[in-house]
Amino acid sequence: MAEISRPHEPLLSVRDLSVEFRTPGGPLRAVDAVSFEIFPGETLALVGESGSGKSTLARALVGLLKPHAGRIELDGAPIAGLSRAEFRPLRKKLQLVFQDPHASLNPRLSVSATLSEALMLHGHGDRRTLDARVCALLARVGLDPALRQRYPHEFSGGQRQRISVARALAVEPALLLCDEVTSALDVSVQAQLIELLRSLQTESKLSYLFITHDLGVVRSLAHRVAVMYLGRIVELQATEAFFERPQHPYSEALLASIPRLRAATHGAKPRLIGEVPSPLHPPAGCAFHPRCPRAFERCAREIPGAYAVEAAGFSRCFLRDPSNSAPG
Amino acid sequence: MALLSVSELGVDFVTRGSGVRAVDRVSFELENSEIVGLVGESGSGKSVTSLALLGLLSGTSAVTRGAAHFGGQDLMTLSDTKLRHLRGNRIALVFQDPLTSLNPYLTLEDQLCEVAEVHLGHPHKQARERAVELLTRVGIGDAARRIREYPHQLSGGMRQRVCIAMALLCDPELLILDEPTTMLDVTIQAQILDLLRELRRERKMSILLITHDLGVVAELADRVLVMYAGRIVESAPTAELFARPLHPYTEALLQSTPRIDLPHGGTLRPIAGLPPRLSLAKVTECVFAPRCARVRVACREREPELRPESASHARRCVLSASEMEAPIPTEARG
Repeated sequence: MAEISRPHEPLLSVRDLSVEFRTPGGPLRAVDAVSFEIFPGETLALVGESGSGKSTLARALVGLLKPHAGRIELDGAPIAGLSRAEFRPLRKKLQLVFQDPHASLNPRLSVSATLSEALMLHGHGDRRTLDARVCALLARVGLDPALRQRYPHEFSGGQRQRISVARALAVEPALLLCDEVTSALDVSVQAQLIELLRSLQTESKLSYLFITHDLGVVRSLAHRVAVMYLGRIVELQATEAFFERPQHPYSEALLASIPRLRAATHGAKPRLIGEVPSPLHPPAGCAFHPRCPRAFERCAREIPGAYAVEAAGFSRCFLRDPSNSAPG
Repeated sequence: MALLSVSELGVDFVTRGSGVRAVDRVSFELENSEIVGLVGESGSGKSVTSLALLGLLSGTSAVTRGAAHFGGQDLMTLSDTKLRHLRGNRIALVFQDPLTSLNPYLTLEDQLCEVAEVHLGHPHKQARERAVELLTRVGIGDAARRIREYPHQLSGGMRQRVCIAMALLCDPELLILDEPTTMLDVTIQAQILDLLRELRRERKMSILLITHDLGVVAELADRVLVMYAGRIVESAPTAELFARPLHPYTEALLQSTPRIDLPHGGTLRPIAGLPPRLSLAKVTECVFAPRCARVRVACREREPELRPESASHARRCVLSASEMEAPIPTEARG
């Protein structure tokens, strides 16, 4: 993938963002003081298992959920806490693509109608040029514009996902939030979509926040990786550094869990014991400590800060705390 | 003799005016305590193959052909009663989604004990003991208490463990797993794969593992059958298949999988186009030819047979093994 030069101004900047849900069992903090930035033309992957808060975070970013605390800035302008009307013009810059295109495309609208609607809602509504714009969008995502009068069910899963991407691109966003967009696809089709996203990025400097549980896709597409566990980002690193030298025990365990195509040794790998605890009652201290093979006494007592690691990354693990005196 | 031997299995779904040949001339054998992976993408016929073997397609519009023998019995001619006895007792199935295979209205005790009572004739107390023992074996702590819970009270990984425990109740000789870890997070998937590996070793069970996930197959299977468009296009021992694929589809599948163990995920080569629509019409060319990067004139002349390359490696392709080692012609890729 192309190296990105990092200008000083991030496209998206998130500071101490928290999202809470009220539940019968008490407040549930799904996203806890999350901070990160995405630069123009960059892909940041957000990985984590079910319940880690990654989809909640995405929904808060596009204004579908109200954050409980924290700041979100898009191109320098604060967007958290805006009313719907205030948010609408800014939302053009930020589009969401979902996992299941079957559920996110209206089955009763032709592709042309779906794309026209997106174009018109955001003020590209010149009737004379509309059809030409629809055709251009379809061509951009590698679909034959001659198929634009067809309905979603007439397309395959991979083609439907391309239509979802085309709809998101209709308003010329700067940032696409892709929530598990490749997960429902067969690998051969998934690879087509990855290549499409890659070429769109090269063409038009798009940024992606790529939410996925598939670390293979992450290594293939992302510039940087953020790992979430129980609502917190526990590690953030440049992609290659992350895969070669993960800096958090949870990341290590995650990487060790992925089946390899060339399995050198069967079995006898370190495994995480147990499952993710309930976010209603997160463990005290470092939320990962009850499952961590390297936990020590301090981990149950204090919440680790974000300790700097190589290439401007960080790890929330006391093992990376320079002032730490415990065994490393 | 092989525990399971399938020969020229075919399944057609016939509807008014048209039909789909979902499985076409599938033949394979499964030995005692062997794990065979059946891999393919959506619509390749891998699940339909297993359903046909178990007689679970009756009541649909399916027409099946071919022969299948399990422990000397002909599965295709067995009566429904005898098949039902075989399923559960000697062959057990675990599906992808434990939430739909468990009854939400029944406690684990009710559903596990029912299996032991019906199939093994155990009285309830003994059935319960056996259920608790197996739940403990598959890694459910405090099983004597948790057996009183309902499926919704368990996590996805725990539910899949319950399904595996239920499948083990009758000590089956063959376990068929259809995408057993697809819905699970990777750390939980790793736990389940470890469990399956241990169970095979201690129980000498055979496993037919149906999945689209090449990584899962690489971790668990001894041998792999690759399906495309209802056919087996390649079969080989696992390590050999991944190190030296000899069918262009297998090769392409591997190259379209992003790798976590290679810088930048390795070079991705998507497969151009879409899988063919499967009709009942006679096939006159290699089914993969329209998408194949190594296609040549001979591929369009007739469909190649599944031919042995060595004692353990077979494939359905006209290219020689050395021709497969040549670099892929670049302009052929879409």
